[in-house]
Amino acid sequence: MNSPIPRALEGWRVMVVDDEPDSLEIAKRLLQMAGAEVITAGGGQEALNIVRSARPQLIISDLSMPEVDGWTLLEKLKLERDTLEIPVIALTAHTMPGDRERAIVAGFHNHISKPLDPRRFISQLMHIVVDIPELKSQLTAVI
Amino acid sequence: MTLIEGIDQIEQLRARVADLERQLEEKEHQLVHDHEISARRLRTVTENLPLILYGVDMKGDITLAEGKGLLLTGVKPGQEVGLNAFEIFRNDPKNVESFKRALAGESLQFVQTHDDVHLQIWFSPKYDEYGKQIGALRLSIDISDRVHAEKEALESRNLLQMVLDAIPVRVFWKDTNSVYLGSNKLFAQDAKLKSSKAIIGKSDADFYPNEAEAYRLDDQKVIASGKSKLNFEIQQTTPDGGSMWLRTSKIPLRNVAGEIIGVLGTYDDITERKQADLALERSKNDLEMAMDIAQLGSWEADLISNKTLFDARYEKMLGFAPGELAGENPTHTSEVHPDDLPKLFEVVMNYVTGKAPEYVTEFRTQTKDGSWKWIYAKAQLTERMADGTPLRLAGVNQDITARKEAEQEREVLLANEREARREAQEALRMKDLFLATMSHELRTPLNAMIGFQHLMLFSEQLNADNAHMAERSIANSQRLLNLINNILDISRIATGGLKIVPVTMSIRQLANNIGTDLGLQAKEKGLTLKIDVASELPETITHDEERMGQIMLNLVGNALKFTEKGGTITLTVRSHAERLMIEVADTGIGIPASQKHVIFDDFVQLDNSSTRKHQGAGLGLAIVKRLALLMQGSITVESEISQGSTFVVTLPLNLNPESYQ
Repeated sequence: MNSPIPRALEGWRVMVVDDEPDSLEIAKRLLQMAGAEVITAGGGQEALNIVRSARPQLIISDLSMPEVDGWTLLEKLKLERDTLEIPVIALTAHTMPGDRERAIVAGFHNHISKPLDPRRFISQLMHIVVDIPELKSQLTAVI
Repeated sequence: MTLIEGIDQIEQLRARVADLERQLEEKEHQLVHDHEISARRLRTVTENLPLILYGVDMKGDITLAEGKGLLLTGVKPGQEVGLNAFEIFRNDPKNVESFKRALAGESLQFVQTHDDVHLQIWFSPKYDEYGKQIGALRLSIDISDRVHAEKEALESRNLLQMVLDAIPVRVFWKDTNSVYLGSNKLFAQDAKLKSSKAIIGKSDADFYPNEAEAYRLDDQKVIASGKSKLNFEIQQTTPDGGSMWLRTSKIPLRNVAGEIIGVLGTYDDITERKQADLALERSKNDLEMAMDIAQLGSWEADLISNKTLFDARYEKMLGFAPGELAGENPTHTSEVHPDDLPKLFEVVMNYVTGKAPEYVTEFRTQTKDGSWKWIYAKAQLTERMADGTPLRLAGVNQDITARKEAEQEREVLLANEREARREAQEALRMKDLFLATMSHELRTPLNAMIGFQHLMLFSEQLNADNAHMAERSIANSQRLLNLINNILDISRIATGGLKIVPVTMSIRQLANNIGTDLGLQAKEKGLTLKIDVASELPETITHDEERMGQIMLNLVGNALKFTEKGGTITLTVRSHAERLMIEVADTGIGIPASQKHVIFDDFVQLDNSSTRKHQGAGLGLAIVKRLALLMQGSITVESEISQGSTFVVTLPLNLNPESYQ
């Protein structure tokens, strides 16, 4: 069976943050299929703990999480010189209407709807990251 | 005849003549004597009475002129003897004529009036002792005093009648047998008589048959006792059958000797006053009754002595005997509930000192048996001193216990209702919370299943058979997810929990995503899915992307379900005059006209048989319709059996975010 996923993220280091292990694993596998190096964090606090050592080029984070949620995570990342320039994409559930607009206002680079649709996830992601200059060059090289 | 006999006879005749002569002499003597006596008597009379007596001979020459009255004319008695009467009375034709008639043998009399002097005059012929007329006599007497007295008497009688007729009181008098002797005009009018004279001789039976006997007994009582009966009020039947009220008095009538000769009565027609009294009494009774019904007690407070008087009604209201409340508690504050006393004092003080325009308050007061009654009190100052100091306060106290209890009951009911409402709201909130949790709990594992199934499908190691099973697994999971989404949505719409969230979105991208998402399904079923987004549509609009996507997904999904292999489904998005039209046309089985109205109802599928061909719970169109309504839109459908159906959802081109907060 042919995988419909192009290896568009070859060489990228992407951090995924989600408190739901299944959701985290699906995202991790999809990103890996697209060629990315994936670091996972089971929550906001864990992400903050490892973000400096992991040095991701892109963070994809769920919003609703216990304790340190996606909003707090973003806020803390933006407060640190080392991390303030990492683009953060929000995973928004349609059960939380209004999160998308708020996410953009809050400083998320963009958003992707949950649940992740494996067929559309990578294409959505590539549409989003084309305007991240650092990643764009790599992306166009691949495409 | 013998000589002797003859001599005897002569002797007898001589004796007889002598006797006759003697008798004649005696008679003459007697006559002279009588004449003298009568002349003396006449003189006595004429000298003492104001009369004038003339005697005349047949020629009219005066033979006699006597009487004190002559002095009044300026002549002395006897002075005019020898003068001629026709000469004296030449300027008085009536007397001249009368002398002539008297001399002709006639007797006559008349009254002659000169100015205020009234004379009664007699004329008569005068005869000698042999019966031969020898002249005439004229006697006049001054009767002015008598005439004047009669006139005065008449005048005073008239005046009395006039007075009686003028006074606005009915006056009547009866004899001792209760027979009318007279009345004034008003009385006669009441008796329907033309004049007061007509009353004389009548009795009450002639006018007032109903009351006559009672009146007679009344009269007799007054007559027998000699005591007046004053100012008693009676009702009387009028002669024309009506009714009138009288205030009447009866007084015994006495003559100069003090004997009772009848009864004098008076009465006033007090019908109007009586009717006014009765009306007043009735209205007073009505007022009393109204006060009874309204449970209104009245009171009056003397602000100087600080004493309050209550009416019996108020006392009764509180279970006290009349007078008991006033006696035991002149200031009437000990019964007032201690909690209400300060406010009552404040109301009274504020009103009495002019700080408040009215005295209206409610308080509780204790009844004799110790229970409490709610009182509504309203009062007014009824009297002030010259300097304005309030003197008297009068008011009414109404028992409003029942109303208060009803109010309290109402309060409790309202509180219960508020509590019930709060509970219902809480239940609703819990339901929303449950739905949200449910939604999350149902979707999360399903999403994970679908995700892993896709990953499985993407795996390099999967053979065709495995891949087929993975695909079927995905399709069924997707169907279950759709059903769950639909059920949750319809519940949230029903409970008002579904909120429309307008965001900036691209309608073109949304329509294309639908095309991508459902294109595969269409292809698998052998259908063509066309997406047609009109070029005039703006790049971005403000709308609820999620819900708009749901509308398209449901409409296209519905079309996919009911269109046979080889058919075409077209999703067209266009706009016109600030309205957005989402149109989904298929070449499917169509909808019978008779069923068009039910297809938007919840859980409706036109084929309800157990062997039905089409899957689904029948929620798709119901959700579309409700979503359209939530966004001030509408949905219509045109369909022909075996030709296909076209659904058109019309929505505002942009939603105002402020309307959906």
